[in-house]
Amino acid sequence: MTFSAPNPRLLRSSSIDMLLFPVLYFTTCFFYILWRLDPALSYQCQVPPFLCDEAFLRNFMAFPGGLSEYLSNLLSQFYYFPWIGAAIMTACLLAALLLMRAITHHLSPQLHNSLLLYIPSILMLILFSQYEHRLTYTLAWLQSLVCILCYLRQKAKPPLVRLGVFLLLSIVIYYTGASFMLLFALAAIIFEGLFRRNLLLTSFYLSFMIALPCAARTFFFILTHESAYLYLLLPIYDYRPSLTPYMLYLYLPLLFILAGAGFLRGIERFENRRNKKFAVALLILLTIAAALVSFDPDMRTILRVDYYAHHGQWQKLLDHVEEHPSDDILVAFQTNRALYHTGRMPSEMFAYDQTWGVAGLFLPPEARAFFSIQVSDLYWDLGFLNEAEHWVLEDHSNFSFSPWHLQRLALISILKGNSGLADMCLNALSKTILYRGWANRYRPFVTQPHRLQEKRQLSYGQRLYIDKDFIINSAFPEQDIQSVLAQNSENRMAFEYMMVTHMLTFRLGMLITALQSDRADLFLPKHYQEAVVVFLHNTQGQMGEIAKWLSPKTRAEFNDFMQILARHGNDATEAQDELREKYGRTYWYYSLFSNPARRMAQSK
Amino acid sequence: MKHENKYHRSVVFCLVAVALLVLACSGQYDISDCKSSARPPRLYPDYSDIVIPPNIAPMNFVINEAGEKFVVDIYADSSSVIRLQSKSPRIVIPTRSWRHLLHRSVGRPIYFDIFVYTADEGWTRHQRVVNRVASAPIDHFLVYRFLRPNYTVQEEMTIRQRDLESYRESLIMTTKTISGCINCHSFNQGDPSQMLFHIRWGAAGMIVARQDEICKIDTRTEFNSSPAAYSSWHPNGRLAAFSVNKVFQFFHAADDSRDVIDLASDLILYDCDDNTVSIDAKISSPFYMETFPNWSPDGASLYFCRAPQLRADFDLEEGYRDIQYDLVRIPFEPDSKTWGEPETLVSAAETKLSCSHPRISPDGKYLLFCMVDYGNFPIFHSSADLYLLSLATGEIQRLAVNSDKPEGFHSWSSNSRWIVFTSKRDNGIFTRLYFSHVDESGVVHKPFILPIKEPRHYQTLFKSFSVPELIRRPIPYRAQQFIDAALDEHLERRAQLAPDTEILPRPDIDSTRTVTDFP
Repeated sequence: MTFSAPNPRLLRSSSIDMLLFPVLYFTTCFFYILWRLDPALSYQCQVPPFLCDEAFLRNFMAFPGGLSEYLSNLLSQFYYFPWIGAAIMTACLLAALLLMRAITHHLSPQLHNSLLLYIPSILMLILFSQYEHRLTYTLAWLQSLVCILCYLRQKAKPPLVRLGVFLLLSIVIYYTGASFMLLFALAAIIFEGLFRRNLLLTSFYLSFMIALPCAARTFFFILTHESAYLYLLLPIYDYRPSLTPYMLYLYLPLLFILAGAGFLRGIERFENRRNKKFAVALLILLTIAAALVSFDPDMRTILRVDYYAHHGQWQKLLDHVEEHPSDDILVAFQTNRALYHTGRMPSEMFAYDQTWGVAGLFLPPEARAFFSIQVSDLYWDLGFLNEAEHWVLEDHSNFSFSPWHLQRLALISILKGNSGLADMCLNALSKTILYRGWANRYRPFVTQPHRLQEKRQLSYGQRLYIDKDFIINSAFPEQDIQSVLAQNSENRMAFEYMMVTHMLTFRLGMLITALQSDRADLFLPKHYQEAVVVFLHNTQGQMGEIAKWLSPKTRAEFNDFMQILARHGNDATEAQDELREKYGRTYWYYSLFSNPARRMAQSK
Repeated sequence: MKHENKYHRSVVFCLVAVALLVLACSGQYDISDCKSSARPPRLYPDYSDIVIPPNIAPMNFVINEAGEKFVVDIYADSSSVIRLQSKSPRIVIPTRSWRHLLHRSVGRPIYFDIFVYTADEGWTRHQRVVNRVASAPIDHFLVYRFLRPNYTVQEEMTIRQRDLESYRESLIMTTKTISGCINCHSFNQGDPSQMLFHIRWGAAGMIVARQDEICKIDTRTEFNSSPAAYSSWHPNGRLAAFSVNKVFQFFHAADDSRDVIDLASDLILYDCDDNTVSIDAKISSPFYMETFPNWSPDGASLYFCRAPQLRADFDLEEGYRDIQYDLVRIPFEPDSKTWGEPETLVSAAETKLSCSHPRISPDGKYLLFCMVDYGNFPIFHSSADLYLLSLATGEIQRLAVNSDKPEGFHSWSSNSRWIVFTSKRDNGIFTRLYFSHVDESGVVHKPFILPIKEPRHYQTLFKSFSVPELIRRPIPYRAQQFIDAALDEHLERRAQLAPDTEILPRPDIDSTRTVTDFP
């Protein structure tokens, strides 16, 4: 194999393409990421922790690949700001192209301007479409490309120098990028084997590639065999990105092999004639197809809803759910929280999907392990500090520590008067970049509890604080709500959740009893009235006292509902379409057609 | 020539400037004109009025006083003063000077004079801090579990070994690359070559390292469906006593959030040589829940805690506060593996408190244990305090080292002069390690937190230290060996129930409850 310099004439002729097309291409990618994917949702999904603290850094230095994780956390925390997040992701796509160009320039100059070099950027775009995708993998892969480039720059040097460079770079990339050392080593092996025909170096590199993880495991780090060889290359437990990353990782070695075997010689001719436009069109089509296929609208909706919930943008949340209905349980859960916070729960909740039943209010036990922080949010709303603390610590134990944990723990500790923990949380938050201001705003309340009223969040928690003990019933959280209400009948959220629980579980007698004892003199919201009518209908009950709760409109509508049913011979299935059209947003429709038990069984 | 002179002059000028700069930077603060404050300085960690080991690492601290400059003099007498000055309140003590000072001050007090400068008030000298250097050293190494507050699943937990004479720390075991939970590490009389710990879930089993060999034992038998938990090595190195517990975790709406009780538990005796588990009605009675075994240093008695076995119709809400454990001792004859009659040392009926975690001092004089309102998981109860029982007189004293937060998981140094225990006094959730000196007369002195190089790190450390065990030498096994043993199926052995073992029926406590693994 001989090397030839790139043809200057061809380089000149394509200089405009070289500048214009990438600029347009990556600008489009930037806006696609910004507007369509929205990096803020990746942040919502990952909440990467990062402290400007030596001890935090030390945690990442104790194992191979740790520095990539550290750098990833540093950068991906800025996903919080969509513009910066989109810029970071686009920079990664661009870096991939530039590195591929630089590498292929050394290997196969005819590929220097090839559109084939955009393929890794497309694959990376697919990965960024997956909100769980951590930047760690991308950074580690880019590091392996940098190492390959550094190695190829020494291609004219004697074998001993190349060997030294290989050893050094292998060790460095193994420490910073863990198993991505294998990609670097593979590229070096292919280069020496196919391009240089240096069998001695090839076989030494191969041996070293196998020996290095083993040596690292034996002498330096605590690793299993599997993790010594495959850490960061294998997907982690909560993120399974299918084949895309492996296509990305193997793309360059494949190009090496094809170039080494001389199979890419026709590419230049193909792309530089009239086919160039066709090739560009193909690339654009491929990018669009990749974007379309990889985009997950359901996940986007879930994360968007969760994002709105986290930021307390309840009206936006409800609007989004109206626009993008989802049958996901987290969406149902956050929708119910939003309904409460906007005061629309007792009058509009059945306008939204309630087929999850009570699970949509509290999340079922099997889902709580995944959504611990959201469960903590719910209990915080309810003023249930111990449970809010329990679930935030559950999240802290199960997943990576996050600034949100610290915020929640800080608030709980301030309310509980635990200044030691409050200080700890605020100290840690003051070492973050994004939450430093928040920590400073809340710090005075640690030592000045009399000022709690100044902060809405704190005064809210203080007002609802539960101080009489009972044992939490994890399996039936609605029972805990009953106990909370027994302690503080002014806990409006607990009351509404209790009423809704009665409706969703069809325990209307309990609903009536609760209304009689607590809200007898008030005007009843729409859904409560609907439930009362159903109760009276089912029990053939006397109107009596309860009748004053019902508006004439509700009675008339219920009569109409029953007449429609009767018109269809009391066959609910027959009447469903008509009922849905007129009364699909009522409790009556829910009680006739929704079956949470079946839904739960299906979800399991 | 002229140019040369010019050049020389510039070089000299530069050298003089650099020298002046160095002198200015290294100049001593003038604290001669200072006023005195009647109060002691606020230090973090609180290293004042304590007794410290003569071989402990430098006890760096932060001066929590507003100031722009700080000077600290540390000395035993005027002949050797360590003077530290800084613009930061963070005081880092040079290791060599510190060691030298402690070495010269064994059995004597050492003093900390702390000066703080503010622009308004000039230098203020705070009341002198006095600590005493004990004569008895502490064991060289400390092994502890380092984890997040463990509820159900852990992302990662580790067992670590800390050199107490420096800040060096090494990993003994981690779950980063194997799934599971690791717990209950224990050593035979502080000898690290004979140790064990458990792995739950994933590569579950008991890892036993002994006689330079590491193996994994499945301790479940026909008698115990739960694996072994709390352990204590018999001094003969062949036997180990374990508890087997059916653990139930629940949560409270107010006060201490998390709680755990045993629904059932027994003690078993494991023979490492023949890989058998033996039971006896005296330590695994169907009428009692026995747990927390601890051998006397001579191996002639086993101390443990026991409570009446819960009834099959046990109602958690009604009954959990009534579960209280006695502290019991039972004689043992190791050759024949026969047990004497159990004797109650501390009765829950009398104290109205529940005993847990008995640990006997290696000299056999004292028994350190925990007492709490109810149950056997003191670390989750604010009421959990440490008590010292004199085995000679039977006298029990509540230790002054206790705080209003939980204390527990204690152990002794091999010379019986130091105890280490966990405490949540700093923040209520994340446990830290505290040491106290125990003098000849059994007085336990004010505790101090495990010194670390950067003490402020404690204030942003959201992990707990747990199960501290002092050992004399470093553990001679590498973490990789433990991981290999955990994952290698060929190294795993299943314990057998000793022949002719009679198993008495046990009550079946409400099996519908969620029973968690060992927290």
